[in-house]
Amino acid sequence: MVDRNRLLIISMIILGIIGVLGTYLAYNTPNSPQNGHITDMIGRNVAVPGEINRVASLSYSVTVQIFMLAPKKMIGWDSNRTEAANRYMPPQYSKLPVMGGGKKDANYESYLSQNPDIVFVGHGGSAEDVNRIQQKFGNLPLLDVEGDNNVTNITPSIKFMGTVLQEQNKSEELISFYNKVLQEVKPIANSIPDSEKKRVYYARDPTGLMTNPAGASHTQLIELCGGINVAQVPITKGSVGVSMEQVIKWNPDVIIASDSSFYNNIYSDPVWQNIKAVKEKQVYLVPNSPFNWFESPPGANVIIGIPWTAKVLYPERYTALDLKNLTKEFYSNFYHYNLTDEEVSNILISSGLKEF
Amino acid sequence: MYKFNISEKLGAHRISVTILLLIPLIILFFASFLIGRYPISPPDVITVFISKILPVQSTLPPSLETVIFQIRLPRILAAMLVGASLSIAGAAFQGLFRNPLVAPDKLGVTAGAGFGAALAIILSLGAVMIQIAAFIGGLIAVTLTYLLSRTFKGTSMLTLVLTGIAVESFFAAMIALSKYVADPYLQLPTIVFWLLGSLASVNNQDLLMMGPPIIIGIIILLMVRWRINVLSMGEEEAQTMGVDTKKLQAIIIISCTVISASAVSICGIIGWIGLVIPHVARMIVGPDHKVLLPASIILGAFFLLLIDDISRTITSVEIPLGILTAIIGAPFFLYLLGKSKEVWS
Repeated sequence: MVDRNRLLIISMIILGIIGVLGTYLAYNTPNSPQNGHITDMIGRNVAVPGEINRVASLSYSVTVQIFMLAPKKMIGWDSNRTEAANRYMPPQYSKLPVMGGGKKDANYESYLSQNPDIVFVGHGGSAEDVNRIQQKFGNLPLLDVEGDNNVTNITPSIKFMGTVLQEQNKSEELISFYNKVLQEVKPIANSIPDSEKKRVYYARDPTGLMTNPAGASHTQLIELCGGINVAQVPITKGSVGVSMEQVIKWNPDVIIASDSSFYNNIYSDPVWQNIKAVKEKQVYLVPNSPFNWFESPPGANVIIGIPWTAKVLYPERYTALDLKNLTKEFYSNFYHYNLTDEEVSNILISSGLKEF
Repeated sequence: MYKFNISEKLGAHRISVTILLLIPLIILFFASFLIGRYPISPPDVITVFISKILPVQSTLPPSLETVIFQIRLPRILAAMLVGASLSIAGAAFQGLFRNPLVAPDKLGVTAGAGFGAALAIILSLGAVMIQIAAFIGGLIAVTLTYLLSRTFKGTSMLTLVLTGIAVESFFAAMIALSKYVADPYLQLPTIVFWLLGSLASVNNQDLLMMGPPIIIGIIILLMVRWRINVLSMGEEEAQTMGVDTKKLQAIIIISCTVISASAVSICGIIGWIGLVIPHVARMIVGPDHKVLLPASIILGAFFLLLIDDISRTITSVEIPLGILTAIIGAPFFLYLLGKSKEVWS
């Protein structure tokens, strides 16, 4: 009898504790101060907190935009950064933690452990895919961004990011820089007759025998600046391997290289000497700090690559383009790094440009 | 006595079959110079060859010479060398372990090489270092397998294979890890492409660097090939016949490891050949290692040369060799399997 009473009292105490805990947790879930809803770029309606101070992204291209628009709100990188890429990155940002992004294989717990207010995912594919990732994050709002990897029409994604991050001024600034660059480059690029268009090979890899074919988002800058990607192949996505004979057959006018060891060897490698671009010393190396200028990722970071590619392809047509000042402006406004004259010359000279 | 005579005759017959196998290889070798993405007409190819030997003035553009001597020649030689290496290593291992399912990668050499290469790609060390790292990685993995298996109680060949499987899967996991941490835009495609195998970037220096160890390894294996017959009867039987099995095993393992690590470092990971070409050879010449090893060399060289010719000509995009070897090899092998009498009883 006594035992039964004791059991009753204990179970009531336990129930009471659970009840109190439950109410406490219910009031403390991150979702409770629901101050607004945002429709993300794939059409999902997501509840977000009123104040957004800590953000992260699962995709590199969106991480770059966060860094450009609201670096102080960024809580970490999605992937590792190299020593070389950190050269022109203020140390307070290069030291941020790496959380391990990705779409199917992200390290969700490491994201959650940093207590973000919201998390972004770039070019998510379908709402179903995005919802699948959202499930892993529970109540933490996940917002999808589309077009963040499309350099020919990147404005909507920048606008969206500016709104969510409450940095509309900064995003307008970036959009107007983008439009300014396009206005300087596109009319001239469009006026080039097909017969005078430069034929360009994008050489990836230490061997230079991988490329991104025409149609891939990685090589949009070639067409944007009035060039022709020589790799017109059946595949129009991702990276493909090609044979040396094929490159000799294509005989490109210009080679844009992604790998510095390849770039440093190409003028001494006997096999490459028969190619027009090598004979005429038209090989260029993509600048890579703090972010790649050409692709890797295709995103807002390649905006500065537009005038660079224009200068690489047609230095004689783009004499009015002041790449040096554009670079300084872009770095100081969006990469939060004030380049000295010497540094900007160094970037441009080591990319192979003679006049800029 | 009567029986001995027959086997003697059969042996001679098998050797002549091996010589017969050489003919298609030689034809394919010369034919391979005529094909490629860069259009060169057969007469021009011959002219370039002649002008190289005789002091004839040719009016052809110099790029033709580059294509033939700097691109096609190293690629053709490399394809034959790699094909020969992988299949002789496979044949020797299958005899050594008395197991038809063993391929040269079973002691961890390809996984180790793959990890070495992936590491060099992540650290952006450049093309030559990728090759060296792959070679060293392969050697390290097999050394690890060998040393570990010696510390265990059983010293049988089975312990060695089991240790090899463990080491192989460890390095496979390290490859997966390096893919995971690699830059997804710049490094990951390189790693993936390397792992699938390609001869696209082979040049004459690669051949000069990796050719000698491969050729020395192959010569050593050919010199001990009749002893593999003795080994494949079983370790104890071999010992009673006066063969120093431990020494012989070590010689075979070292030779196979050096040649397959060199082969992998040139062209990445190419599966299938080391496992299956020895079986094809066995179907043609029988299980005697005296003829099986030379036949494997010829068939392996022929098969990979054929595959690489297809890989470099069929489209403007290179098709990785690891994909083609299986796509073309699997149906062909199944066909042979259906046609042949039972060779493994």
